[in-house]
Amino acid sequence: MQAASLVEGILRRVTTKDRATAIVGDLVETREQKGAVWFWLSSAGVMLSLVWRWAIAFVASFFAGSWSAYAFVMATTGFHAPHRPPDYPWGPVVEGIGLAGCSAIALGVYAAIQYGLRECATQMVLAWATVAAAVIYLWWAPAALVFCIAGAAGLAFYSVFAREGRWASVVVWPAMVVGVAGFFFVGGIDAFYQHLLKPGPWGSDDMLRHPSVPWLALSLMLCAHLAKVCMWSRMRGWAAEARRAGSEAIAE
Amino acid sequence: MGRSASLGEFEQIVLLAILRLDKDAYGVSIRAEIAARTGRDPAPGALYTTLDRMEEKGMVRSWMGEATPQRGGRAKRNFAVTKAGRAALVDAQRAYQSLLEGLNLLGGANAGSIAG
Repeated sequence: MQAASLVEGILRRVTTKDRATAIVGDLVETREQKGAVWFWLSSAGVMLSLVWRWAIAFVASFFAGSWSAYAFVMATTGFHAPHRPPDYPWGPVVEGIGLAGCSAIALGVYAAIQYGLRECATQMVLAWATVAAAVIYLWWAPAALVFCIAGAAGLAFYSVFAREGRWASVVVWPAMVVGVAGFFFVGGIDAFYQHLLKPGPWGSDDMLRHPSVPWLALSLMLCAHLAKVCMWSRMRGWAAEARRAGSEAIAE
Repeated sequence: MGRSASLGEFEQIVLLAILRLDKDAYGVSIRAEIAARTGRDPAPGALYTTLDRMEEKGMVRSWMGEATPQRGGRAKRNFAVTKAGRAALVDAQRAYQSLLEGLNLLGGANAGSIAG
């Protein structure tokens, strides 16, 4: 029975409490006929089947977000950037759009792998990511900028006036807010840590080479990414539950 | 008339097993029914992820049932096919029937005019 409780405790980390209880109950019921080896192999199989897609989505979206952040920075402030925006008024605007765009790309990759491209929320966040990327790379071309503004206006209109769009927004915007807030959180804590390590505006090269600095930054970035994708999953679950309850109420 | 969602082969098998079991459909009984009728013993992980996916699509619904001592005091999760699930299953089976028409794969009453 301790084995079953252990498996149930682990399964609760990756699915709901009721589902974990029912799954372990089924495995315990079948263990009488098939034995302990079958129980452990099946438990491992169930865990793997519940976790593998999430794990791939998490890692892929983390890399997509990090890679897009690097690419956006290189495109706007990099030494070889063909069209660097002037500091005023474009600089902060493009940087802000780039920051939101990185979050949108990371969330889009996560949602596409975990929940599929057919979901309205996935399509919406990928559409916002496309608009942000287009602004980053084509901000200097007036025609492209007009298309981006028209696209953003269309998406905003859809988010407010279409029923599916409103439900998608319930998922997309809280996760985006957590993503952008997570960036500032990581930056703030990392800068604070570097200041503790070696007081001064940015420390010295010795301090930057300290092995704990990149590891802390990576850990904080993973935590922020986890918060972002958890917010997506939670809001998606809540929205689905609310929609189901609403449909049942209408049917009654 | 709108088309219902498409179903994979294993999804159809699971839906048919739930329909056959009626009110007694839960993880263990669904697996046993599939094994008895098809000779395939589905992995528990595959079954639970399929059930979760179909519940999200609105093709099955689930509710927690009674706990029994054989299950270590843990409740069963019972399943039933929804109207949308039944409609999708009927569509899929009609497509199979349509493709089978005129073929003598099953013999007997299913034998058509082309083969045999």
